[in-house]
Amino acid sequence: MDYIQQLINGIQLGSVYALIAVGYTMVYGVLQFINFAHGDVYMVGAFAGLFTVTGFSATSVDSQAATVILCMILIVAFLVSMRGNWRNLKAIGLRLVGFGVAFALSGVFVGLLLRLAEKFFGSAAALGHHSVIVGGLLALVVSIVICAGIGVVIERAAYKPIRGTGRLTALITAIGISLLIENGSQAIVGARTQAYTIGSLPGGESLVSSSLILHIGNGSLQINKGALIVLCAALLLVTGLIYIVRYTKMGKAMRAVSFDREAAALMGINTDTVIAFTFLLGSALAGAGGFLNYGLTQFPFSPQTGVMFGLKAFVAAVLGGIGNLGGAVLGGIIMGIAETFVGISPFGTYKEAIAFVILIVILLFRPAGLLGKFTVEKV
Amino acid sequence: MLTISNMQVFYGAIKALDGISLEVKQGEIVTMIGANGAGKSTTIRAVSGLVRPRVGEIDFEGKPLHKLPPHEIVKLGIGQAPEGRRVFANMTVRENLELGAFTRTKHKDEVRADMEKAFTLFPRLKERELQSAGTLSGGEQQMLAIGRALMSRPRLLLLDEPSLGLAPFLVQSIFQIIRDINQQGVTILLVEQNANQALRIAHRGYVLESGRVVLADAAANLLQNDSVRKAYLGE
Amino acid sequence: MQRTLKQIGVVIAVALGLYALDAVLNLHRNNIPVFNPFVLRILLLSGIYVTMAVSLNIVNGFTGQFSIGHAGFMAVGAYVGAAVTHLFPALHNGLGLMLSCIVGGTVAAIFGYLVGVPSLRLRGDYLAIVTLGFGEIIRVLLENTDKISFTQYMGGSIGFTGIPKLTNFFWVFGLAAIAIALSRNLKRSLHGLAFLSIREDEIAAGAMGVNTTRVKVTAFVLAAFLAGAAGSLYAHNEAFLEPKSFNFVLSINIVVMIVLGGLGSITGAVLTAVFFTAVPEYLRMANSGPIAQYYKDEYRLVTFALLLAVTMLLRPQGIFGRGELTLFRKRAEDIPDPNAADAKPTARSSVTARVLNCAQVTKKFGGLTAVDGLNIELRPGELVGLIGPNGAGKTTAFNLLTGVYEPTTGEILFDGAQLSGDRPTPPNRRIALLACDALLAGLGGYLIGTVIYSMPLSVPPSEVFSVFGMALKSGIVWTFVAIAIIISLISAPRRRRNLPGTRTFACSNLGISRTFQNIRLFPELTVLENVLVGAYGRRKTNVFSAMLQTPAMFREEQSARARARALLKEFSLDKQEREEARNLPYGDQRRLEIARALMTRPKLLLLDEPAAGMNPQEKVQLMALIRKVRDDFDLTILLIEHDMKLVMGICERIYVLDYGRIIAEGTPSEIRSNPRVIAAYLGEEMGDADGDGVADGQQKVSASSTAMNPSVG
Repeated sequence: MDYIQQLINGIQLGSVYALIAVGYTMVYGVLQFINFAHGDVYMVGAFAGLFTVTGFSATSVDSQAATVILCMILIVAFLVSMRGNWRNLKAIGLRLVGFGVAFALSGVFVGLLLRLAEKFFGSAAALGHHSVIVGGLLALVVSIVICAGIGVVIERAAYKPIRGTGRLTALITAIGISLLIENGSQAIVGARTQAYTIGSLPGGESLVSSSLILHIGNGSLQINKGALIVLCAALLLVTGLIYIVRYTKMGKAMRAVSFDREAAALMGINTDTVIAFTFLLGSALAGAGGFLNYGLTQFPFSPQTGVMFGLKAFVAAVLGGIGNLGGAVLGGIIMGIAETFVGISPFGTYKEAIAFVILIVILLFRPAGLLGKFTVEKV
Repeated sequence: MLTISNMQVFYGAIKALDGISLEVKQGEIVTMIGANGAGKSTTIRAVSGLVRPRVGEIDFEGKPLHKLPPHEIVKLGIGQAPEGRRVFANMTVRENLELGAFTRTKHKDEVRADMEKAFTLFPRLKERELQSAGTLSGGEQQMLAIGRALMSRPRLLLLDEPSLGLAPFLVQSIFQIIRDINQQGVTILLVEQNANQALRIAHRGYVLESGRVVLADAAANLLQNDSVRKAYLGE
Repeated sequence: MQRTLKQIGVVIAVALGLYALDAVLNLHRNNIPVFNPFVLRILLLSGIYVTMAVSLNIVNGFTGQFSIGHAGFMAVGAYVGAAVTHLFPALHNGLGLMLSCIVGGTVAAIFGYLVGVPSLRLRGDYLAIVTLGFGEIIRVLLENTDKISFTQYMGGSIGFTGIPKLTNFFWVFGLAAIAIALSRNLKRSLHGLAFLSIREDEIAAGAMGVNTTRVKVTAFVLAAFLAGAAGSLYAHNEAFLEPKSFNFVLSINIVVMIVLGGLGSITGAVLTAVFFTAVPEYLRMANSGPIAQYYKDEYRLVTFALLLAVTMLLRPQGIFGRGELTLFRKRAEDIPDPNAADAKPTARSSVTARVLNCAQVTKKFGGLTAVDGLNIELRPGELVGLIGPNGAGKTTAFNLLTGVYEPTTGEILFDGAQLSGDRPTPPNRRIALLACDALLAGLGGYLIGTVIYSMPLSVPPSEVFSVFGMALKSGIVWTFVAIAIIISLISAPRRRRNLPGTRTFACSNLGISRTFQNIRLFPELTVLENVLVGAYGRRKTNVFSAMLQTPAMFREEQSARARARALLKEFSLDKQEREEARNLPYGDQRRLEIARALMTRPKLLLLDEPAAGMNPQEKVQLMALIRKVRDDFDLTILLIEHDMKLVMGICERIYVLDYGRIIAEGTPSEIRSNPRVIAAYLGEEMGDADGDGVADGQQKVSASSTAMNPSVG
């Protein structure tokens, strides 16, 4: 009985892994690189959910740090905008003036943004306070929208300019973006772990926080309703994604681009749009995962959470066969179950390593993953 | 219809095209012949926007192409069957054809009609409509690549080595089909290693060597030209 | 001799200098402050990270692999080194520190070997993620040290306390100097070129006789050793270790250093290591004034992140690229050799009547047959052409001959040696291998079984390893072991039956060299370096003599250099020897590729479309060159070419390949008049000679450009 209980826990964790893994696998399929920042997008999803449910107070964050980071990003933007233009004094002057103004206003801008966020999340939280269903759905939608936006921005700002310059460049950039999001948000919201649940909203007690008790034979099975909702929602979202990729026109374009980008362009497909859409979809699911995994379970999380969770999800994608959506789901669920079972064994303290042990074993014996196909490099 | 003037293309430090100029007129079949690496494919790729010329211009019906991205060029009415066919092997024949009509979202009925037309042109494909393209033979894949390119209703069709790696009798029929397509009013720019066949169906031909046009003439004259016969026709 | 003395002199001078500096710095212990201890600490940390960065640069910069788990090696070295001094209190002195560095480094090197082995099969980002995973596994293991009785003193996640503070300036910078000197020597040597060639083009490196697997593993082991030694110094500097300080962020720190400095540049690694250690440490430790008020440690990482992104956008090669700053301009390699060698080899004519014999070689990709029953025979000194339409399988045939692919069936004999085909593993060896497999499978079953068996038990964490003993009595566990062994034995008839095919580098060392259809030079190496890589396969010295620059190594390099120069002269490329290969004109690149292939002293040279992209005049010169090379170097040549004039002009015999099969063989005039050849290749209108149908057309898919993904269909 205990095992069935744990199996269900494992599948629930696995379904969240699957949500994140499909994002890795789609991006890898289209661009052949590991989007390291994907795990951090998931973390942002968790925070977006937190703020939507509990509201957001501008005084709880470090607006000074936000300003500093904004200024650093502005410097980078300035440097990048000058690319190949260093001899043109007029251009330098104009941009310097522009960025000077931006620097001067950055503090004001951050202040405004925080105020705006306060207003927005405040009214969202107020709305959510009517019932757990409204609050939950609202948090889900908000985290999806915010993360989808972030995903597209990352793609446009960081990955698009370096496209076609080699995989190593892409990998290093992705690591950079991941560090930026992780440490940027840590500087702003602080390193402490947080936890929340929509179970605290009206009606949440019976819908989310309580357990479903099943009597089987002479034993009984306790399933947390929140976990069950996470499982169902995750599987529903992944199914939706697979539907989009299989049957819609955009999905067809995505498959074409991931199979052969040039040939796809010759069909009249705007490959840039398709790539951005891929990021949008993947990030949206990551955002949903971020909210679901924390907002319904009261697990603690912090800005550091995303990286490792994301990497494990990536391992799940590799396990299933990178580039294969079904594989990502399968891999995610296997990962979840494996981790849960190691967790309850006396070797529980080694739980964090199991993902990587699986990864190394898989890559040694079946580099293409469980459902992947092996390809040969052309000479 | 299509005018390329003094185009230079570089791959890194290597100059692939060294000032190509050529012209394709409405209704023609124009062929480019030349050895491997002479720059034929690069020219085609530059027209469809896959590579950018560093110098020179490409003009299609008065519109400059050399700054447009590939998908915009497709919308202007230029279709391409790329070298090596490059069909989407993981999709069915039908899906491949649908992707060919990707730019024509608004005319579902027309697309359906065009698909029927493609199937009448290539009855073989109809039989394999729901098979995945990767399981097709080389000749069938080539038919699919051409059919797919036609689905965008191009006015100019770029064909890059359509006979590459096909059995001889299939080569015959592919060239026959190219001629048929042309007679239906599609202008064709054809790159071929099989110079003999290509010159037989073409109106005019360009001979490329080391990224330059070394000879341009009516196809019939090129067929008779001694140096062409020696270099490219194996005599 | 003089060189050796000079080297020893330099070593002694550096050591004495460091010792003197150390003595001065140590004055503060006698209450004479020369340096603020705070500044001294920053200095020492910088030195340690210099070693880290320089060592990682060997893997990431030289070999072009991408490891992002370097902190793992450092952690291993730190814990093992600290354990040495912890367990032997007699070693609380400089000697003990050295010993602990060596032991820590060695254990880390063993781990480096274990991580290097997966790199046999992985590249790029997959390798990166494995190294990252390795770092994490190490961290988790260290967090659990307190649960095992004999490592309890390491303290698990609480931390390892009470490590003697032994590290001083002398040892830190001594190790850094050693790391810099070794990697500098390596980079300049023939061995270093082999490392670099893998980074530039792994396939071409293999074809030039570089055992890519071995070189990559060597790089990992070397880097891990240095990182382990640095870790030990770190442990004895901090006097306290905790697993979480060796996390992903630390690995990334080191990666940032070498990426910004320029992957492959030792100078860059050193400078950025000092800068990116000293500045953030200073900012973090400053505990008064405006810095302390406004600075947050996160800014350091945000800055790193942005610097990475900016570098990738604006200067992907880093600050120094691959270049170095050197104080001594005149380098050994620039001294001209008085007795310049002749490019021509001593007689190496083959003993057998057939240089090459391919019998019924077939290669299938998935279900598609690219090469079908290929039979080719080459006699010594022949110049033979291989022609056929695009996609007929010519290049695949070359790849089979050079070990890039292994034939599905059929065998290849080269100069009496069997390269591939039915080569049964000797029975005793096979039994040993299968026994090994079964043992491993059983062990795996035991581990999984134990975890599952142990789940319902409530074992205290400190006793967790007694579970393995208890598991021996459990039926469940033995069932798992039995199942694993049975699976391994059931699949045994298919495994380990044949010896693996000869790998590319081994083919090259046997005497098969090649050029590539799409030129595969090492683009960022100079012309001379490109050719020198070809000498690697026949080197006699090992990688240690390269790092120590022994006289034997020096002589060998001198003669290799001389031979390379002579070859370049022969190909009239000697004027451009310092040019980077990617900047050469197309025709020169083709000729350089041939020169590089000749440097390996081949008996058989395979030329894949050598005339592609050349103009008629260059082609005429090429024809003369190929003939001359064949005669001067006593070679057999097989060439693929589309230019009929060239093929018919120089080849003595021609094979015609179509649909992966030889359809004709003969002298040029025979080929010219062969109707099947004309039908298939030359493009006359002829009927289909043997009724090859659509099924054959299908074979083409794999051989033509779709070969990128041969498994489709």
